[in-house]
Amino acid sequence: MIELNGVTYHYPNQSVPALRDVSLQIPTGSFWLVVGQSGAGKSTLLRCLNGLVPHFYGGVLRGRVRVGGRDPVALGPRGMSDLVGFVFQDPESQFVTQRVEDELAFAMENRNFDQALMRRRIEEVLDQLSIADLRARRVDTLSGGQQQLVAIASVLTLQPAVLVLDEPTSQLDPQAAEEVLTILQRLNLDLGLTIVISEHRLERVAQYADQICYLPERGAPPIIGEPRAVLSQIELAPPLVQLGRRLQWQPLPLTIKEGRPFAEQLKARLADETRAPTQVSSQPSAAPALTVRDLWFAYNGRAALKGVSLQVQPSETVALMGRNGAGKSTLLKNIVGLLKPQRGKVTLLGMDVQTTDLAEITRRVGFVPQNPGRLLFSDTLEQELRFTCHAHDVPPTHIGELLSQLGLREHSQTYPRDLSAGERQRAALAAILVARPQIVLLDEPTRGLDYTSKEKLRTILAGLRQQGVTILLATHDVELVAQCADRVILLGDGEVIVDGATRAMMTDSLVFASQINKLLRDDRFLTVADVLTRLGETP
Amino acid sequence: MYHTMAWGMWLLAALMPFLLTKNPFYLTLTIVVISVDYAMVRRSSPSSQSWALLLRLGIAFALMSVIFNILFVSAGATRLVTLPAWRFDLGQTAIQIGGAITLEGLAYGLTQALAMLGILIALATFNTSVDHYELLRSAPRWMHQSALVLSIAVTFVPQMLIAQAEIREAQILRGHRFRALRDLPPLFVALLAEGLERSITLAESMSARGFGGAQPHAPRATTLLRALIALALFVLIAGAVALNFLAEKIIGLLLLAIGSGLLLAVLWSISQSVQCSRYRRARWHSRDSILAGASLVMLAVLGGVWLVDRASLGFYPYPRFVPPPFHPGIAAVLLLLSAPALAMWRNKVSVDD
Repeated sequence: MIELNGVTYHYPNQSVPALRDVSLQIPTGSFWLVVGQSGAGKSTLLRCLNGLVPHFYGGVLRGRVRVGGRDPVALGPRGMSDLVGFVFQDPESQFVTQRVEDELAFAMENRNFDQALMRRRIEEVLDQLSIADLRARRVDTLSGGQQQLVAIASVLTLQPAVLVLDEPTSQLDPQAAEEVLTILQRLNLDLGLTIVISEHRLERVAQYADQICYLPERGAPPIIGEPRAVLSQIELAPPLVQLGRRLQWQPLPLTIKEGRPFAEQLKARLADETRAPTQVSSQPSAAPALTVRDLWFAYNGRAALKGVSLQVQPSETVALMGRNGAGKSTLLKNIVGLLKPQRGKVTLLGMDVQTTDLAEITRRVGFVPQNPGRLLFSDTLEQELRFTCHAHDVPPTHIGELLSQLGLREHSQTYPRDLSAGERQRAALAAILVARPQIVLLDEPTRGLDYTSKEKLRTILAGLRQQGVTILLATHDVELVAQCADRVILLGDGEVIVDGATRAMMTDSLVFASQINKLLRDDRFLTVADVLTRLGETP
Repeated sequence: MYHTMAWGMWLLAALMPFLLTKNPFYLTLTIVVISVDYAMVRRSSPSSQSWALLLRLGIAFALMSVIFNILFVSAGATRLVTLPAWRFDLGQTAIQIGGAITLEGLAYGLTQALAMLGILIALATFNTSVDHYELLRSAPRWMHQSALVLSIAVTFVPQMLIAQAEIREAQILRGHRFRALRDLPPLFVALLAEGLERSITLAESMSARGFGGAQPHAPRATTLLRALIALALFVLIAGAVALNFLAEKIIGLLLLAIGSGLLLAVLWSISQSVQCSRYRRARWHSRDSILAGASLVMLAVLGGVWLVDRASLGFYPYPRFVPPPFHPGIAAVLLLLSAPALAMWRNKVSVDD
């Protein structure tokens, strides 16, 4: 179905190729997963399949690309649109119309289909994806998962033989991501649709893939093979696979189900160990860093927070979890004084947030937004940090040191928006940390990050904690929470559902638990490092 | 709730008072009526939040125009107060700031502000309630691509306003303060970059779904079409000039007719190469007939009054302020604009229905 022979591609004015001598063959009806670190060329490879590269971006493409016998380089995206459906990372920014049914019709209208055919195709696709109830809804009222399903539906109406998806779940919460991936698996199995998907969170999708194509770094040749074979040799791997590799489990488990037999043996080895807590929460002190008491907030009469109460101790790391719309971001904005609560009180480092000047609050509290691009505007990273120093009237004396700590020293003169997703996230963090805040609030800090970037972020957060910084992070990322957080506060529909130690909370939950905890169901083991340490091995 | 064309007629009718009358009574009444409509439609429209931001901006501009008028225009017989005056000589003319603040200047400024605000509220109501893509489907085929770009731009503005608010919050939390124009780069550079990134994704998505469906003309045909458009525009301009400067009006009218005919013929020819179909046309219900009927009645009555008795709609406060006339009949006709609010209130329906 898809054939690439010796494909090399340079973006305009770039000396290093984004793809170098890539050759691969994807059979009809297979499910291919493209993985690699940020900037390795995943998106470029996917865009070659429908002609967006080079038609949309320019540059020079050498080699041969054939999809279903057609040449995307000659035909361009429009000529390939009936054969290759393409779904992007952010569903919201790819919608052209306001209503679901119109969005589904858009591609067919462009290809001049008649009315009766359009109606039939739309009915079929709505049923295939089980989203018939959404047909009359406005796209901006849908949840992230529903939006991504509509985006998939909008390309399926042309009945393409190939569906290409560029990190389709990176913006979704775990439940919504699961919905989307289940649908993709069904399309692959029921319709024989060839699926090519790029994804960072391999624990979600590796199990569905027939083959994995790993792009090691920009311009290096890919490693292609069955998931187990590829995952056993690459740096990027989900925690379960990492553990399996370290303990030499064969065959390497990709799912919790496959890991169960190994888990039984492992539990027996671990049972001899004395049961003792491996992580101790910070002791409550006389003066909490943050106290929220009976907080109520509503947007246009719709309640978003309903009587939230919580406390965070100094130098504690607390994770706020919950589905999209549970109230996490609203709570963060109330805490920092951006939103004024209808009822209740927030005390931050002894300041009453409602009566304290915002400038005074921001001098002591750092807030890293969900989208790091919202902070970055300067010509160089160093200027970006100087700007924060100037805003807070802080001398810019430790910019170099901070950039080194965050692994960004060599990018100090780089335009911040040219950085990869992980580097951008760290750049935004640097722009906040340079003012040396006592409390750092992070909203979805791992969105769109690969394992390596997440590991770097985890190290940074651990370092901050050691320096006595209090951290409150709103996240869906259970693995990050398992590694970093002392405590988890689970929000649901604007209320605190659970507030407890991370280990106890994860062991008690089927959804908000790390892979290792799901495997062993033991509050001593949340991460690969926990298990290896217990076994006396180096993590 | 309503058919797009019915909303279109309502918009025409709602804009008409602001174009035909300067009478502050009628302007105020129209603003009150369409504000009630806006309040009703915004309750169930997700895009209302971003339009509310634009409206707030409009109110600020309207207030500024009133202040500008009373400070810069000292004409009028009814002096309210006298401020210190600054005079700037600019060669043959001079600008004065301050001095006599007159009732006439205030009335004129308020009238202008009311008209500006009214037009903005009418557009906000229309944009909050109408389905832009449905509106696009009503456009002629040769306008499809440009109308789609316009439709995207209309939906893009609210998204960018929301992004603007979030960027502003993020920068404030970083310690930045927006006090003067020089403080704006952190907002606008980030907003511009985000807007560009979003545009690129949207353009990619549209290309990947086959947008840009015109069959390319042969290079020679393309050159001919461009030449014909240029010729048609030249003839139209010549007609306009002839109509204004020649005694024989018939020459100007003839040129205008030829230019228009040629332009329409070229556009029709272009439309034949646009390959796109339309999924459906929205159904026309009896409620649409009521709204369109009420709008047409209002357009006809107001237009008729303007043709027959223009003075009853006019208002000019200078040189001495005289209260403008008020005819209950005209006021009653203006109330017809409340048809959407009444229907939504009676039937408990939303713009999504």
